[in-house]
Amino acid sequence: MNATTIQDKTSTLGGSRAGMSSVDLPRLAAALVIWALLLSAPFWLPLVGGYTVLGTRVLIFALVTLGLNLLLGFTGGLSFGHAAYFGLGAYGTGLMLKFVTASTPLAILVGVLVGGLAATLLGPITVRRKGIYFAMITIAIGQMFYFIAVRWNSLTGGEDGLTGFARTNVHFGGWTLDLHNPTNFYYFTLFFFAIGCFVVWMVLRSPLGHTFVAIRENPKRLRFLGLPIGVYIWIAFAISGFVAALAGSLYALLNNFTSPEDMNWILSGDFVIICVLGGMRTFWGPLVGSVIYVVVQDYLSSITVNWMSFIGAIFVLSVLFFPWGLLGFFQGRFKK
Amino acid sequence: MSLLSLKNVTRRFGSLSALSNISMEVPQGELRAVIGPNGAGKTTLFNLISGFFPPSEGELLFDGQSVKGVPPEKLVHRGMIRTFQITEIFLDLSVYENLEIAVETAHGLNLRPWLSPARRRQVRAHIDELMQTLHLEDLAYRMAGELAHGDQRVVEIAIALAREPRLLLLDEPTAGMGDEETDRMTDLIRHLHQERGITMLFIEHDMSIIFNVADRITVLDNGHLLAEGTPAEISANADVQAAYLGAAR
Ligand SMILES: Nc1ncnc2c1ncn2[C@@H]1O[C@H](COP(=O)(O)OP(=O)(O)OP(=O)(O)O)[C@@H](O)[C@H]1O
Ligand SMILES: [Mg+2]
Repeated sequence: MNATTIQDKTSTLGGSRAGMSSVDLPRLAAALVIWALLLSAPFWLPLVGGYTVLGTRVLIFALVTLGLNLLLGFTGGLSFGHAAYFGLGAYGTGLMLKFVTASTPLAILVGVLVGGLAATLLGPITVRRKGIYFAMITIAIGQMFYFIAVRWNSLTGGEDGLTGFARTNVHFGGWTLDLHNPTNFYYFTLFFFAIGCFVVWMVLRSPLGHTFVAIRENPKRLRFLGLPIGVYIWIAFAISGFVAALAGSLYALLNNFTSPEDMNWILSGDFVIICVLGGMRTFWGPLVGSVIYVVVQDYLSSITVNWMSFIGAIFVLSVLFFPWGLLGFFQGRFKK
Repeated sequence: MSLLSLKNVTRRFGSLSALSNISMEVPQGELRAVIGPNGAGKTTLFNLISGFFPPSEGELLFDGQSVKGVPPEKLVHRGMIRTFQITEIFLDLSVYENLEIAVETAHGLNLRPWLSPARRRQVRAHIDELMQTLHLEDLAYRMAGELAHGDQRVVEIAIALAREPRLLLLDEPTAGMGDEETDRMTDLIRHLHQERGITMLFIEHDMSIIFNVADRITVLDNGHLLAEGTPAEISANADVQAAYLGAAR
């Protein structure tokens, strides 16, 4: 028996558990192509009618959904409230820059802590529910933050959103990273996206990740193996909350603006749609879904205000024809 | 001292008494069969013992300590583990992955986001050992959901064994199996009992298995304890013959 065969025959559904502990060539090749495309995006995006900020948006949506997918696709917990933690990251960072500090890294750190700790503290309320109740309570908690953002006019700017802050340059010793330059900010975001990928990838190939997948597959069996599964759903919830907050923080920096819409449940729903579109049980599904989402939004929102109906239509078609998402579909093909 | 004892245990569902006033003692090392017609309360008995739900009345002792109201995830840590009448395994994972999660859980590694190479080898050795004991090597890389029913039952037992239980509860381990699979399962049960000394309770309808391997038999009928004794005593018991052995099944 050897490691290679084990990894090769790993299920498509348990997908990215196949990890890289042994050489899995197709996966490795796919990862190399993806990283090459991401690293060179500012150079080729204009050639295909795009622009750098579009790439940054893709990365931010891919980051939040990568984290969400740990909960949604791998642990099997349907959250319709992750925009709340995304939005808390955004407001935390925006408010820091506006009122407290001129340091972008410090503002990011505070945003991540605010959103991540909120998810960690609220997780226990959520994880005791099952199925649709889990989804409903995540919406309820998420909307609570939305209404706070709308009502607390003096601090948040209410429905008009939070303005009056801007990302600042980052200094390391004597060296300065000019974040006003969109290309630099793209790479700045890519750096955090890479960290997010590394964390999720590490988790998925560890006993912790195996536990998440096992909860999705058969929580009853796991309970009768002696595991308090609520704790582990909570951990998945918290990790995804921290990642969402990081993405939200970067989003506020990208736009130099944030509004209650960045924590609305509609956005939470979009995150779920992105995961499903790309393939919930695959590692790169969220990135693929984010490309579709951001590109469709960008092209159609200039033509029609109803661009979301198109996303909706694509979503319905994809659920009908590719129930495991685009990547899930192609991986399935490839294995046959 | 008995490993497991039930004292006047009753379980009601609304007005139905699924189990009435059951007392039983299972000594360390015993292989005990539980038989009875459909709806007799056998699975309910397992649900009570394994902490799935508490008894309405009565007392449950495991290893001399009360375990009434102790949830399943805690009982497992005291050395009790069960299988289900309808197989509960991870169908969309490979057999190897099924055992991997069981072994990692048994070793208490679930919180680890990373394993040292030494740990990883240890986990792997345990998985290999389980696969050898249960002759699952050839199926290691197959999806559990694709396996024959009998093999899925074996995987479930392998998962349970990963925890190295002191008391193993098997709910109809041979249900729906062909003759060959049944023989294999019978051998396995005997092996676990004789070589490993695991105390076992198993629910079974197949009389040949019961009389082959069981030390003692508990007969339930309609929620009541009808009889208890050695296979010879049970087969000679007139009540049992009337209620069960004589019946059409
Ligand atoms: N959770 C429950 N709620 C209500 N009634 C239940 C519950 N569990 C079992 N019962 C009832 O208790 C009685 C005993 O059921 P049980 O499943 O223990 O029988 P069994 O001996 O395992 O039968 P079988 O051989 O068919 O598996 C049945 O009448 C059943 O309908
Ligand atoms: Mg039963």
